[in-house]
Amino acid sequence: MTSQEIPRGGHVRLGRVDGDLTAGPDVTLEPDSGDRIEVTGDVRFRGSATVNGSLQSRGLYAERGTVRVTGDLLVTADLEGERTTFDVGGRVEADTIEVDRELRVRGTVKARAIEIGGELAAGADVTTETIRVGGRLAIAGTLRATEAEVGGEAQLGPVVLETLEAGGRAQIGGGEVRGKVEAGGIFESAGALQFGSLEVGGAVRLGPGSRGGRIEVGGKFDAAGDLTFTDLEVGGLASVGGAGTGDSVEIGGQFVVEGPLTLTGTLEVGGRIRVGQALTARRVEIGGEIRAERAIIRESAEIDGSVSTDAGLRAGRVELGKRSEARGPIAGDTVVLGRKGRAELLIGRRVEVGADARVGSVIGEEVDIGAGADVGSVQYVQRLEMGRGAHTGRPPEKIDRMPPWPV
Amino acid sequence: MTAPPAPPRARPPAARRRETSDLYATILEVVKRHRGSARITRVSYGAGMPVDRLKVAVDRLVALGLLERQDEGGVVTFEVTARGQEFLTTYWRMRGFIEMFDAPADRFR
Repeated sequence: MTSQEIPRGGHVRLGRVDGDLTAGPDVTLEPDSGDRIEVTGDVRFRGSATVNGSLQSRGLYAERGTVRVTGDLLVTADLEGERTTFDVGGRVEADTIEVDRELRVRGTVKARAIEIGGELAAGADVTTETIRVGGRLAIAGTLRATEAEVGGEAQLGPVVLETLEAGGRAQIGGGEVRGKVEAGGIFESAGALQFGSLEVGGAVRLGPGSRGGRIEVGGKFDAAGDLTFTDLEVGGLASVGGAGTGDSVEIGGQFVVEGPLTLTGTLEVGGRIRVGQALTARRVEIGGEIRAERAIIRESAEIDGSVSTDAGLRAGRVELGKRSEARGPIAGDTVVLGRKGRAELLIGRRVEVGADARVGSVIGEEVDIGAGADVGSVQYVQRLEMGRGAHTGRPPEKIDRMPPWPV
Repeated sequence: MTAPPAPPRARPPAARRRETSDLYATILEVVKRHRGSARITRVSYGAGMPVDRLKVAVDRLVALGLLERQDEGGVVTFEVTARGQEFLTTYWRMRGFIEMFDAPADRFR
């Protein structure tokens, strides 16, 4: 072993060092021949250093400075920097990387584990098992990892990950996160993303064609095109630029779907919802307004505000709240219009019109018209009850059978 | 002949002022990533704050019970407490509401 020591400010040419290499602050190393310095032992930089070429060693430990390597930095054991910034022109390979301050790499990065206190910026692919960055992570290439955690902000290209966790904002190019994506503030995927689940405090924007499991967002959710999910839960506003397909949806505020919305379970919207094409669900609860080209609900639809459809709304049971308004046919086994409600056409096996309501037409096997209600025309099969002061524009007509369902 | 006056420029939306709560959330998120082994220098790099200014904020967070200080053989590290995590959850939930308030009002039409 011929370990070597270079004093402060030294400028030396090196080829192969059998043993360790220790350098004082502000040294410059040049490859003796070719473009690589090879150290069989460990390299220790006790301050800033410049390597004009590639450096290969067993371990590399640096402190209090900036280490610049114009070529590749290839370490078989650990790459460590205490209060250090690494600036590498080529690629970086190590078993583990632990750097207090910054790691800037123009090429690829490959390591079993990466931990950076401040910032990691890579110009090409990063491949690792775990990557943990305190501040900012910026990767132009593909990030492949099991776990990726960022305290502040992540700006990534395509990803292939098991989990992604960002304290503040995470922007990715698209790809796959098989497990959970967790971001405190904002999560954006420019391209399609396949995900296990999404949990974001602030806002989410997903590229077209994204698909995954549960989505939970505190504020705002936007999917640029089609979206497939299991459960979508958004505190505030949500929009889907194309078709939405999933199990259940719960939106605190407003929900806009430009294409069809197809759910196997429940749709609950605190405010209002607009669906550009057909809405299909098992059960619907709307606090405010619902607009759709048509709505087919297998079990029940409870709407407190207004319904507006081109082709109608049909459900097992439809309940429209007091002072609600319905444009387009409303059909169901049971249809209930609340007090002072307004509707164009109600059709069902059993239809109940609330007191002081106004309806264009009612068709039912059994019909109850509340007191003071005003109905243009009534057709019934079995039974009609009229409350006190209820009025019909034309005399009620008893019919033999129900006409075909309009929806 | 004088040139016509330039049309008044639309004022760019004012950037949200960084509140103390934003600063505290940033620090806590960085500490959280280090899983109980966050040293002050490393947190300073992550949060992008000089150590002297960070120390003041960290002392306050410790005093408020949002951070816990640990001393093992002279090495001082920090960890987020359950109350600190509760603050982060509440902070991000509130930021969610702010995102909602800032969204354009005519998205429904």
